[in-house]
Amino acid sequence: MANKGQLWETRPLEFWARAKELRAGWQQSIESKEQVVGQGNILAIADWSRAFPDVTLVEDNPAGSMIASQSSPFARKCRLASEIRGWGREICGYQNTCWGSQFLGYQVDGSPFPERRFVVPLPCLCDQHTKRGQQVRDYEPVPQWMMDQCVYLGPRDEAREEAMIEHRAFSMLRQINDIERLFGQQFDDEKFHDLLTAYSLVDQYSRDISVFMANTKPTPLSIKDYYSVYTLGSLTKIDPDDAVNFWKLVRDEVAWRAENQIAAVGNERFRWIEAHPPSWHFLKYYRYMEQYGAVCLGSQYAHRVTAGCLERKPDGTLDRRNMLYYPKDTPLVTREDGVRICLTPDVRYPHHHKMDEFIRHHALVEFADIFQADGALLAGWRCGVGCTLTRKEQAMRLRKAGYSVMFYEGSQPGDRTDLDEKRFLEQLDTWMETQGLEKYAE
Amino acid sequence: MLTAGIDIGVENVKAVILKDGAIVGRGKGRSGGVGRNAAAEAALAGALQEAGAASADLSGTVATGKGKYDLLFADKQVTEATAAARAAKHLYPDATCVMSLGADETLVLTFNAKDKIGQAVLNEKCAAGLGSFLRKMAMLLELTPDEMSALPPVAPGGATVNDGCVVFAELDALSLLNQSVSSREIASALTDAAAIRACTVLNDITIPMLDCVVLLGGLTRNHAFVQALQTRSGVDFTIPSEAEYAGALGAALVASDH
Repeated sequence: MANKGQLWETRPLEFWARAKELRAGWQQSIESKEQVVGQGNILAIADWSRAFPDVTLVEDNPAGSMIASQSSPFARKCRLASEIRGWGREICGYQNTCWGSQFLGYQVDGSPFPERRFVVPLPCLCDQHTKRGQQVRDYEPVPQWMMDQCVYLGPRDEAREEAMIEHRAFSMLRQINDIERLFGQQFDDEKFHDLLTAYSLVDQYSRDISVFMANTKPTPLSIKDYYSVYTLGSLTKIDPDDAVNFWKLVRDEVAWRAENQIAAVGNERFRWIEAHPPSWHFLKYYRYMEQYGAVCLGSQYAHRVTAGCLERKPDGTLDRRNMLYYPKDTPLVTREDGVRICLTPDVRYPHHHKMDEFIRHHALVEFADIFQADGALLAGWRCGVGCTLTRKEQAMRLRKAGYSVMFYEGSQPGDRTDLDEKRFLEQLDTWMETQGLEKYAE
Repeated sequence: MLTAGIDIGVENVKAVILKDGAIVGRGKGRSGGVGRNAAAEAALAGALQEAGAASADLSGTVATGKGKYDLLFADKQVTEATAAARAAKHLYPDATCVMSLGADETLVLTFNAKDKIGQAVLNEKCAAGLGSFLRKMAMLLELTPDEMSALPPVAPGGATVNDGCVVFAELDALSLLNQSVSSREIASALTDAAAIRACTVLNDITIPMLDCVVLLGGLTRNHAFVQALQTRSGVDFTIPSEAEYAGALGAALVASDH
């Protein structure tokens, strides 16, 4: 395929077909009536719920985003349904859209909203994530398990982190026991350990993909395409073997593209990073930027969800930032071992983009450096995700480091109400022109 | 060589005819909402008349401003940032920064060592439409543009309005009216609030680029606002006599480049 001003060869991604199959399978799985469907937000290595024979956890992030993307009128109905129950506009749009659909009683396609039988809200202190469970429970008094989000500031303290893991491990073990007791489901420890092993492979493949994107000019994969698949195996939960095979497929194709200089955007001449998920209903701005030869390498959010955060090692290579894994070098034998490993990455993200107000300032500059970016496009969200906190300070540091920065504003990535799409594109025009770039002629 | 630049903004359209780097004709009018193309043609006709030229004499016409893509006869469009930067550097080669204040948008640009644009900062939505806001408030308070421009600064202990959101500011103004506060005092408070919003854009510039800040745009005609902005920002702005026509001038200069 030829782009205007083409500099490199580009080709369609071959893993698309498999991604679509997996996505369709996920949709089918969450509509199953046979399973105990819970609303859960799991920021852990593995989807531990799969160790139960008949439990499915559904995340509201992708559900809310899909509604916003598929139907603006329905998304507005959902928001209104949530707002009239007292959930204000400052509540994360993922929730208000998803749970507004629950309050309405039907989904965007008119089918009944699936019943949730328990809630495990996202343990995240960044904003209103912890309210998610309450919104479900407003509808029906289902069991809810909360997890503390332990954080601290300052230099790394491994003893403190171990204590934090222990605290959370206790909570998670209790959740597992309660689900066993309440729903008559037996947690399969062997399967749980297999899940952890499988997801460590997914982790490795996704790390490789991030490294290829960072190191290779032109980038073999743009974030626009990556966003379309990056939740498979994490936020959109699929069979672990399928997840491993799929991520290997993606890794191998990206590796081949990198080796053969097959570009994601054939006219790449400007690389930018973000710090946030984008407005999911308006991903076309990525295509719009391709007219300038600009390609997005992704956000801390995206690469953290998949690969963790990268850092440059003393030998010059890129690899995942060192993290404390607890218990160190202990074989995976008991359920407790698995739970601790499962929770470790969530205790203190090594490069946390949300919580550590000191790290996050520097992290974005380092992220831009690692991904060889020319600039950064930062979102000013009105609510949700929480990452807008300190965004202005991050911009100041980026500018000081020589990166050009442009802002845009909206409600929240899963909520389309406040994003002025025309103004957003005009701002992108201004950004590109001030970088000396013009659109390639039609 | 004659070139034309047209700045078609949310409220006004300005046209400039340029000959050898000097403005030889100006035209101006309301931008006309849906009739922007006709409004631009009229402004251009006025500028051509002043220049004693005809449209056939033009070797290029470049449009800028919010309505730039509504013009059917422009050869090229450039963003407001490009036009403002071009005009500022033309008028003040030593400029380190430009602040452009229009009816709709507030824009701040810095120049790097190569005289190219370094940083570009646009207003957030909360600081959008400052020019339009002040015009509407003047109508509400039954003050003319000249009266708005001649307002005194906010007196110590005087009336204030919300400076975070123009909707709240308007509600505060209505509340003050109900308390029998004078129109002029309320207008001063509104002007000061608008200046504070504009400062939020300027505040994003971290590098010491404020040595020679050129102030452009229609709001420069409002002296009370400019005074409030200088007080609030601590910046001593350089304001050219062509400030209101700077967008059109920049566009005409781009036309000359091509």
